[in-house]
Amino acid sequence: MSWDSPDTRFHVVVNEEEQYSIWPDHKPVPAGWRTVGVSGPKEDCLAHIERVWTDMRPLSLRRALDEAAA
Amino acid sequence: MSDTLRRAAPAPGIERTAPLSFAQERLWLLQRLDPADTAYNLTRAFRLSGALDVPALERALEALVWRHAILRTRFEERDGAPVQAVLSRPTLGLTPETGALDDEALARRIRTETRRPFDLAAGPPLRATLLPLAGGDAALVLAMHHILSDGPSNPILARDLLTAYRAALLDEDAAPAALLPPLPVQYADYAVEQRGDAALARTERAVDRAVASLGTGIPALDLPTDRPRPAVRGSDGARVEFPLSAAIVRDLRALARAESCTPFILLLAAWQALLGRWSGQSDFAVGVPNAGRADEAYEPLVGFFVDTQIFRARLSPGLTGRLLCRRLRAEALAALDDGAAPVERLLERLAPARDPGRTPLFQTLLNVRMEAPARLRLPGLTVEAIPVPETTAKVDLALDVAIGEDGVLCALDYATDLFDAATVERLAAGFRTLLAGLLADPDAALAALPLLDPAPREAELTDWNRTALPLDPAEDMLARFERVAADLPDCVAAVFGETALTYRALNARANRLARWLAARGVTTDRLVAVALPRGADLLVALLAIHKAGGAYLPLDPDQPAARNAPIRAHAAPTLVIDTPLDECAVGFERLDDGNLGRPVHPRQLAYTLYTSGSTGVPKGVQIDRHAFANFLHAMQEPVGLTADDRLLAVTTLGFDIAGLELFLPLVTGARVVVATREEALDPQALARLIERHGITTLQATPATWRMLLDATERGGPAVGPGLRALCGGEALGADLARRLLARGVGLLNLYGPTETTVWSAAWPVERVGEGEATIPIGHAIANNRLHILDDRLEPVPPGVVGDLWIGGLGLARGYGRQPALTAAAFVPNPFPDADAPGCGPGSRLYRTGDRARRRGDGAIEFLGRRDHQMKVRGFRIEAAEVEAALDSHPRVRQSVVVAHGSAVGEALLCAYLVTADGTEPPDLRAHLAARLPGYMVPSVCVVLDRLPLNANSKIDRRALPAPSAATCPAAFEAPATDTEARLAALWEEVLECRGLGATDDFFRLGGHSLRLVRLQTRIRSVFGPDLPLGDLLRAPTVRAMAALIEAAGVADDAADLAFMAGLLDAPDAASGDGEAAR
Repeated sequence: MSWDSPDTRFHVVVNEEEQYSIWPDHKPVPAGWRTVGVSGPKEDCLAHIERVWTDMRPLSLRRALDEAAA
Repeated sequence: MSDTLRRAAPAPGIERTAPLSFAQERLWLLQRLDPADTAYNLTRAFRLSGALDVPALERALEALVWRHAILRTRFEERDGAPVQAVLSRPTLGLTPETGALDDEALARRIRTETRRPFDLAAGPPLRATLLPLAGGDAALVLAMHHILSDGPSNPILARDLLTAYRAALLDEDAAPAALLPPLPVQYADYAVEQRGDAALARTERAVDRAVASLGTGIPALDLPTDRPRPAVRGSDGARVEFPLSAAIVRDLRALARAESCTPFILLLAAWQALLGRWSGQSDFAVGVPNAGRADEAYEPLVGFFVDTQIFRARLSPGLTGRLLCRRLRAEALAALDDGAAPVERLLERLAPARDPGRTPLFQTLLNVRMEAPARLRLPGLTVEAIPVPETTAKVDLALDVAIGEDGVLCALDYATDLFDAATVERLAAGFRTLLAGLLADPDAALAALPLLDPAPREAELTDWNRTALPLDPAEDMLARFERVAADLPDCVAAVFGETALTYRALNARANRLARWLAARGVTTDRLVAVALPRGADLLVALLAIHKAGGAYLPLDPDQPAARNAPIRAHAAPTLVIDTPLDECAVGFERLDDGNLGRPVHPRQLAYTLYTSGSTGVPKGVQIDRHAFANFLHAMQEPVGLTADDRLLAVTTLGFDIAGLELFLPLVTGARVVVATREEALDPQALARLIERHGITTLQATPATWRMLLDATERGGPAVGPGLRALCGGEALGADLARRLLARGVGLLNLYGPTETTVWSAAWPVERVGEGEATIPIGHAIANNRLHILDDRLEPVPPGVVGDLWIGGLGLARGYGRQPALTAAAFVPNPFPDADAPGCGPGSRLYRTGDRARRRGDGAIEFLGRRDHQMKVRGFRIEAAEVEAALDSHPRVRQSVVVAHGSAVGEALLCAYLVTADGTEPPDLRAHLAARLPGYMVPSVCVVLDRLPLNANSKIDRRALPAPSAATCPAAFEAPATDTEARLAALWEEVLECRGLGATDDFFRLGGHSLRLVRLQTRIRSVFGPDLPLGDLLRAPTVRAMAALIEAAGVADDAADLAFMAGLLDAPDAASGDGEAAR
């Protein structure tokens, strides 16, 4: 199953900086990433990410700015 | 029919004559093409230990030749066709030599023997030599031409020779002819039978079925090579041997039993899978020699019976080892039912596109054989085979598997023109690993089987990527600049035309503007668009934006507003600076000039840069402060800038590499001299700036370097030993690298996509080898990792082409306001390493879309964009390879090659050139033909005054003019000259067809090599010159051939015919099947 194969199914995954990506469902999810419960063809996963990843700043930066503002 | 032939050959001393078998005919033709070729010599050597009876051995040899008439056969040419003439008496004598050879001298002697060519017409091509060895043993060396024998004949030869020797010992008086019983049939009978109507019809049916099952258009196997493939192939070869472990052999036998197939089928499956993985191709062909003695009567005969069966690999995604084995087994069985389909006939029927650099139809072989016992005992004598080193390669790469009592020994025979031993050893290791994987899990997808053992896999991932270089998060660009400003306040930081700014002045002005910006809302992660000309204001603005905490968005002030508007709309900057500072930031100069000391988070944005080339969707690459700081930190080692250096900045700010030019000097205390846009485009002006300012460092694209070299050809110190030349943005060709090195500059080749912060790899170019066509991009810079991965994100072994992925601190945050695009390009790093900065758990890898491979020494070679690969006539073509050949012509200054789709669907290779005098050099095509295979020679050459460049000084392929109809070859062109017309008439005669065009291809019209030989003879009698076959072969159109004839007076006779081996086919001359007609 290759990355570019149209048959490959993916998971939507996210890391601790709340950065989103996709990962083929037949391979173990790499350390530091977790699935969010959305799987399917690449396009569907990317469409989901397009909807939910609204603030693309890394979490550590967002937190630092919130603290500075508080 | 054989009786007729026998009666028709009454020559004295000749027992009978016969036609050649199809296979013999091919070898005869090859030998005729290059009488000095020894690729088809078969040399066997035996160590004889004990009491050797030399006269008995001589009589035994003679007996062997009496029994096997083929061993007393010579090959004559009668009326342009070859004939085998069987002599009535043996002519073989044992040549005894004197002396006592040690092992080394023996090896040398055997090597000499393998390289002594045979004259097939002079006498039977067979020699026997007895060499006395040190210590009292002797070596018997039997050398013969393949036209007499083949691999399966070896045990027959050995058995008969030993039987005769035994008989000779027992009966000293027996005549040699009586030592062995005569054979009822001989090889000549086989050759005659092959030409009989029944056999021809049978063969024809077999060929029909083979053609139907193979299909046409089999792509050439394009394995990654260590050296550029020569335009015409050579036959020099070498061998790497490796055993299969007992465990693998056990599993091999077990799976073969379970699948009811032979081990051969499993080995073939593994070999196809390995080649598919190594080449990245799913479709190619493997040749498999088989003994070919279908009729029992031929089994005891020595002779060339071996035929080659072709297995086309069709490695669909997801195919498992078990399924492939079952398919191959069915193919092998079907072929057995159908009977032999001679390769010669398949070549003719499948008519593959010819490439003198490769063997046609298949470029790789698999030979699986049962090994004969290595040692035999005779009365008073032990006979042991002496291994004869393989020094020729019949194809690019052949796997030989000898299955013996004690184990399985494999050998890879490879073309030394293409591969290094180290690469072939890696292939061997890959084969073992993949075979073991297939046997362990036959239901796993072939594409998922391991190619690398755990240790080399680990090495591939980490050993070449040991780049960790600690970086303090506080050490960002701004902090370093402010420290330099405090340490060296009165040094000149930047020069713009006649204006020079000290570090103190630059820092003070930037601080004042930063306060003005901060007051207008510029802060962390806020964008400020900058559209200023290349002057002091620009540099002040960029520093000020960082000082306020913001990030800059470069906009090209020279671009029309329509180009910048969508970017501005998408990026939504807080502010836009597009007029001189004292106009747009009125009053800022009165603000405080001290450093602002704003806190910096490593992940806050440094800049956003919109990349060109995207289709419609704006792609704003977001680089954070830590990534940019790491870039400057990492470049210190390869560039080595100091406070004494002066760097000339020429690159537009819209191209991220400008970041190096502006800021690397400012964090090291060096001086940056900023060229205006006009100066940057004018090589004379650049040369003047270099001289005037004592420039030590210049970074530019290959196009700019070429321009600068051309402009300073007549000397001048501008580009010379005092200059550090940084080259990047496009692939650095070997030719340009040589020119730069010849000037004595220190040369650094750089590579990196915008998404990983300017540069990710660097390679100091110290010398460029003779045969080198590309310059490596080298290794990852500090705190970056480069991985070459296959489709499944697994590392590929060195030498194998894969996709280049980048990880580390240089990675961009992503594409601004493009979550899906970001998620698709930046993916989880499957090789997390907590010790590698930026590569720990949760880190990402960026997929570059570039193809690359690692050399044996670890340096990475960039092989172009995935989407720049072209396919012409089924061959994969890298534009860079054709461009390198064009550039090597002394009058070609610059070139770019693209493929245009033509109306008829066939892609047309088109070269765009800049030449010394603005015209196409008349010998350009000959120059290319000598360096490139035919399909890589561009069909159209367009000479331009200059190649179009985009704003980043890269060649703009999309701005190249389409070739006009006038320059495209028409579908049919009538012969235009007298020579062409006369030659076309000869073609029609030889090809038996009518209405030939001047640009039709000989081989596409049903021409084959025997017909080419006939054509050669006709050309000699009609036109006079005796043109070498190799030249004719490389000029397969009437037009090209006519040009050869006209140029024959001055033609270069150095027609290296060695390449013909394996290329030429010698199909049945008698069969004029329907294909030839049009």
